[in-house]
Amino acid sequence: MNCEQVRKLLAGLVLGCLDAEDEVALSQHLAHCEDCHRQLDAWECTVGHLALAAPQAEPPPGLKSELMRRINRPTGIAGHVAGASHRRGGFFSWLRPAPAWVLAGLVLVCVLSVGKLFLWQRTGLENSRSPASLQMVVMEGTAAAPIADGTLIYLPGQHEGVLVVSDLPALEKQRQYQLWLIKNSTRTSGGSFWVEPNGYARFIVYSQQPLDSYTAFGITIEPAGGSPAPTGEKVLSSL
Amino acid sequence: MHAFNPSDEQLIRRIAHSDAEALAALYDRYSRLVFSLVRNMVGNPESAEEITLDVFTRIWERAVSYDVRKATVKRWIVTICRNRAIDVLRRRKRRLEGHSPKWTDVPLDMLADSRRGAEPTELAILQRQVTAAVAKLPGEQREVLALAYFQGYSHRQIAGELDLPLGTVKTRIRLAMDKLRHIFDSHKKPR
Ligand SMILES: [Zn+2]
Repeated sequence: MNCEQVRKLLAGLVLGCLDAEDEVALSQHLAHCEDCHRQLDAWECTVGHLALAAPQAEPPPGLKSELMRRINRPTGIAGHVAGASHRRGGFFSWLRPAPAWVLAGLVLVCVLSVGKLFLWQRTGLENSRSPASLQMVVMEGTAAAPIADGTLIYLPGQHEGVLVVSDLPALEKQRQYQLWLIKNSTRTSGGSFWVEPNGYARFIVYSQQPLDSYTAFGITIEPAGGSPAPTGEKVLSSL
Repeated sequence: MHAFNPSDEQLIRRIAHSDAEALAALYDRYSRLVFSLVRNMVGNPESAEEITLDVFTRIWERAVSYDVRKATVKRWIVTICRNRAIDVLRRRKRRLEGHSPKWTDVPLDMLADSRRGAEPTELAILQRQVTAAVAKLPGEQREVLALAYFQGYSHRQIAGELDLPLGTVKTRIRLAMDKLRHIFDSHKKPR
């Protein structure tokens, strides 16, 4: 794709209405073309306005008190679990099928944040030609790294997958991030990695058992080279 | 205009510190926008209520991760709304289920209205400008844009839904967006 073709599709990218092949071609171009990349912001601004043109409807009067009641639920473990399961609609729903192009198009993750990938993934791809067997596990930042995001993508039965993280604080040489594969409260290392100065990293995860046999995933800060079991602060968690 | 009126960013910062009053204030400011958007996306009021609650609960939980460099508060909220509503739509077999998302119609007296009544909020002024801009688009462009924006359809899905050539859909979306951007840019005033 040349710049002119790319410019014609930028609005569609921000709207989230591109089909996979356009999206991959576009992101490959954006990875190298600063000029086109700069245009994205203006489009995001335009798309951001569109919500205002929906027909107006008044939320029912009781809704606000229901919201205030919900956020005043007890905190601590019980409240957290209740909140989390409400948010995600159940324990297993964080395992969502992802379209097949996600793996093929992982190159686009190099350019754009994980959050944006989700927007695309959720947008307009329900009739994807994928066998809907790819699984995607979302990891959220803990208090130690509140803006961090992580995603693990793998096929059921496979011993390898791809981990993508963004917005993790950069570490000094003596320390590394380590992925933990959790099953029956046993934690097995899934590998150690550093992030780029902008907080981004992508690496292939190899596991002894199929990745879908683990029930949860977490990332901690460990001495460089990794630890046999987690010792440091947890920064990302799938639960 | 009102010095005591906290900015969106100030409210989010207070929410990040678990200030429930700030969440209530943000709700007053944005609940209508959120509810209107998701109601237009999912069609039925019950789902719209549930998603609205979910959106504000997420804001409560995730205000700490809001990054002003990435998006304005309004844009951040709208992104959460669209993600949540598209999630719900994706779980349905057929998205539209007899519901067709629409753009609002501009009442002719809207501008006159703003000259008389009480001082309109910044959001209300912007709303009028955006509504008027969308109303100026040809009907065929409004239609494809509504399917992309409110239903999360891809170019190809829109082409299938409306039985149009793919190239036509791409062109209509591009023309519509070019025009909107041009209009919005010309409204933009330096801050
Ligand atoms: Zn370019």
